Formats: sequence, C-alpha cells, structure tokens
Amino acid sequence: MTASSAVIARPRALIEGDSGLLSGPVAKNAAKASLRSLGVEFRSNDGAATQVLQDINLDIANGEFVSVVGPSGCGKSTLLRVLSGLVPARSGAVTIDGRPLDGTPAGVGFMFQRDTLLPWATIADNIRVGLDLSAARHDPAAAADRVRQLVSFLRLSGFENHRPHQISGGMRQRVALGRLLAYDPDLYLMDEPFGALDSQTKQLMGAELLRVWAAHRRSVLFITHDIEEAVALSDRVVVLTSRPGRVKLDLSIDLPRPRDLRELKTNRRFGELCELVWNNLELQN
Amino acid sequence: MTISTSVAATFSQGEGRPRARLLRDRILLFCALVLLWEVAGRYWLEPVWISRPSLISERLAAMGLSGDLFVHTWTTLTEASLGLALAFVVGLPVGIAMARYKYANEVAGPFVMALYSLPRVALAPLFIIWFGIDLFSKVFMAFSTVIFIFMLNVHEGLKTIDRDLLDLFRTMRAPRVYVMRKVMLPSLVPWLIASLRIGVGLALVGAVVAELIGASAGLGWYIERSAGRMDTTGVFAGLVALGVIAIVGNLMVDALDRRFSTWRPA
Repeated sequence: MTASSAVIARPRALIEGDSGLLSGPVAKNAAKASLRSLGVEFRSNDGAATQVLQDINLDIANGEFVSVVGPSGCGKSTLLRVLSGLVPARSGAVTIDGRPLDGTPAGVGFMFQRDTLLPWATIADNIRVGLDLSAARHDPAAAADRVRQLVSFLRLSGFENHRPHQISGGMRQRVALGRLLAYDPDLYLMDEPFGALDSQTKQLMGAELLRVWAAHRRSVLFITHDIEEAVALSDRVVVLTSRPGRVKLDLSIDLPRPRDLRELKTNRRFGELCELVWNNLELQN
Repeated sequence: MTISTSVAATFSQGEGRPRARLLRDRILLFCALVLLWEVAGRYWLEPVWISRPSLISERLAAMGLSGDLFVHTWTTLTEASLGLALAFVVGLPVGIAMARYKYANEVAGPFVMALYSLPRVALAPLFIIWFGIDLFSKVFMAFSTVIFIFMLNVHEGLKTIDRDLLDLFRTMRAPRVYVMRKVMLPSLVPWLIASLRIGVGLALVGAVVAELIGASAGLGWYIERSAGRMDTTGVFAGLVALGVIAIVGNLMVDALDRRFSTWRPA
C-alpha cells in the first residue's frame, strides 16, 4: 500500500510525456451518447416486473465528463449497462454517435468497481487484453511497445510480470484503467471504479483519471456515490431519484480546469456545488 | 519493487524447515506401522491373515527379478492412464457443452445423474462382453468411472466463472474463441486439477475392478489369483504396488498444481 502510494505521489507535470500515446482529441459539442425517455425494468423469476429507470433524458457530449450520483439501488449501474448493451432498454431511445444502439456498441469501454482482472495473467498481459480487442490492429512488436508505454504512463513500471494478487487495490485499478486505455474507446463507462479504495488512494486515482482524460478527452460517464468525487472530476453531475430512477438534477460544474483535487477541498464554489447535490439527493432511512 | 520482494519473502517462509520435519515424521510413522505389522505377523497372528512386511518385500523383489512386477504394473498403469486420459479428452468438451446448452443439459440431467449414481462395478461384466478381457474393457471401465468427475467439475467450474469478467469481455466485443482461450479455459484449470486428483484414484479403481472380474494380467488379476490360492503375501504385494502407483500419481498432480496455480494467493 505505502509503496504504491509513494509511486503515484511522485510529482509530475500534468500531461507530461504522453504525447502520441493516445490518439488525438475528438471533436467537441456533438452528442456522443444520448438517452431519450429511457425506461428499464427487471423481471424476476416469478414474472413480477420492477421499474428500475424511468423517463431518463441525458446527453453526453464528445469529450465531456459526466457523473451520475443517486441513492443506492436507484439504477445508476443499470444506466451504464444499458449504454454498453448488457441490459436492454424497455422503452425510449438510446443512441451512440446518433446511431440507435443495437447489441454491444463498438468504441465503448467499461470499468467496474471490482478490478475484474484476469487473476492468472500478468499485469502486462492484462493490459494487453485491451489491445487485443481494440479496433486498431497492432503487430506484436508495436503491441508490446504500447503495453510498455501504458505501464510507465500509469506508473506500474517494475510490476509488469506480477500477478494481480501481488499488488495493491489501487494498483489493480490502475491496471484496469490501463486495459481500458489500451482498448481506447470513445466513451468510458465507469461504474464506481474507485469505490472500493481507501479515501487517499481514491483521490490519487481521481487525479490519475483526470490526467488521462485531459490527455485525450474522451467522453466519460462516471457512476459514484461519493458527491465530492463527482463534483471534483466532472463537467456535469446528474442526480437520480430513488427507484425508479429519474433525473432529479442536471448540474453544470463551473469550476476551472485543470483542477487540483486537494486544493478544491477549500474552494468555496466547490463546497456550494457539493451542498447543492447533497440537498437534491434523497437519502433513505 | 519493494512490494515484490516482500511478497516473495512472505511466500517462501514456511517452506524450509517445517517441510523437512514433516517428511521426517512421515517416515517415522511409516516405519512404526511397518514394524508393528511385522511384529504382529510374527508373534500374534498367522501370516495367512495379514502376511508380514518382510515376506511381502521378498515377494516384490522376486517379482521384480522375474519381470512379473513390471508386466502387471505396466498393464494396470496403461489401463488406468488411458482411461483417465480418455475421460479428460471427452469430459472437458462435454462439460463445456453442458454449460453452453442449458436446456439440453436439463433434459438429459436426470439420466446423466442416474448413470453417475449407478455402481459402475456392476457394468464390468458387460464391458468384458463388449470389449473382451484385454485392454479395452479395462480402459472403458476406468473411463466410465472418471468421465463424470470431469463433466460435472467442468460444468460447475463454468457456472462459477466471474460474471463481471464475462460482461467486461462482452462490452469489449471479444470473439467467443478469445473468451474461451483467455477466460474460460484458464479459470477451469483449478477444477481440472481437482478432477485429476480424484480421477487418478478412481481410474485405478476402475481398472483393478475390471481386472478382478476378468483379465489375463495386471495387478488386480494378480491379487485375485493370489487370493484364490490363499496367498496373502501375493495379495499384499499387489496392494503395495497399487499404493505406489497411487502415490506417484498424486505427486504428479501436485506438481501440475504447483506449475499452474502460481496466480492463486497462498
């Protein structure tokens, strides 16, 4: 744990040394993904239907970082699963790049709260999976090169041949992030990716994610139950009601970038925005 | 790098000295039991009941010199390992199919379980009618005993694969073959090794049982023939040879386990 934090904490310029690592920025302001009156329900084995999401309208622009918060069980994760084609929409329209969703869309990458690494594969091989499955073709030498670049970009150097169980939780999530970067999707769907980490590591990972995002500006839909994390990272924060989830608040975060996550804590505007999100969150019991 | 070295240190601890002690104590226990047996056979019971370790060693040495030991051991070993290998080769795809075609599996389920629960010993005479008294009836007997272990374990292993992992590969639109190679097969390895562990013993049982019923060579046949002549020493000599095969088989499975399970936390 301490060793890994020390590795992340080493000061560095924000976007230093990763030019050419990721493909260039995508045109802004066009909708990357769009949900119109989306409704989702689950049917249990005895046939009873539970409405999970209801009348969701949400646009994610190209290169935009959007967070979704809401009480547990409100369908936040289901929202991501719909966009990745894992769960079908019952009603409404889902489009990605203006095209209706049909099956599993290309160019959409998922990151879970659990690291979901292959436990038998080395760190390098786990990152390699993203390359194997990405749209771009790599010859073996180029692929090995790219893996090396990502390993050093995510400060995992020296751990390439370790297995996931030999490294800390924060490092495992960086490997999962590396796999996602290797896959190089246009839309990142992140389901509480840092939810299982301690608050210190979580903040470091948030900074890491912003560094990655600033480097190549893909669209991000980020699920979290941590309000401060949502406000600190995002361009917009969407608050869902409790089940069935509806959009309660869609808030633009007008904090300047680049943001220093530690300094933000004392920023007055940041406090106000968090307060606003808090007040719109329906907490149970 | 600090993490890697500390991890290596924790893993290597508990090997060295305690391992040597374990081996020493096992040898001590073995010697004590053999000694007790020798004494019992010499002074308390007629050798016709339990023979004696010294007589058994003499017999094994004689069999070794005449070449009989090799012939019988080789016969049984061939039958059991062919049966085991066949069960692996057939059981793995069948288990995968059981997980893949859920409905067909549900239809066939009760019949598979009925076959599984049937004492396969009772089938031995049938196999001998079908395949003769030589190699194939024994191989088939071992196969029929072990196949279910592989089928059911592979099926169970596939059911317990991490759903999130499969979902993740789905979101990356991974081809089925890729998922099979990168996720399914590696996560089946512990289940296959567990099946092998049980399978080694069961394949031997299958081969020996078939030999007891009808054969012209093999350790089972040798034991059966010795018993028919009240030659207890011969029976025990056969049993010792079988025990050695079982131990060596288990050691080989242990070696496989160590080779393929490096990724599991200790």
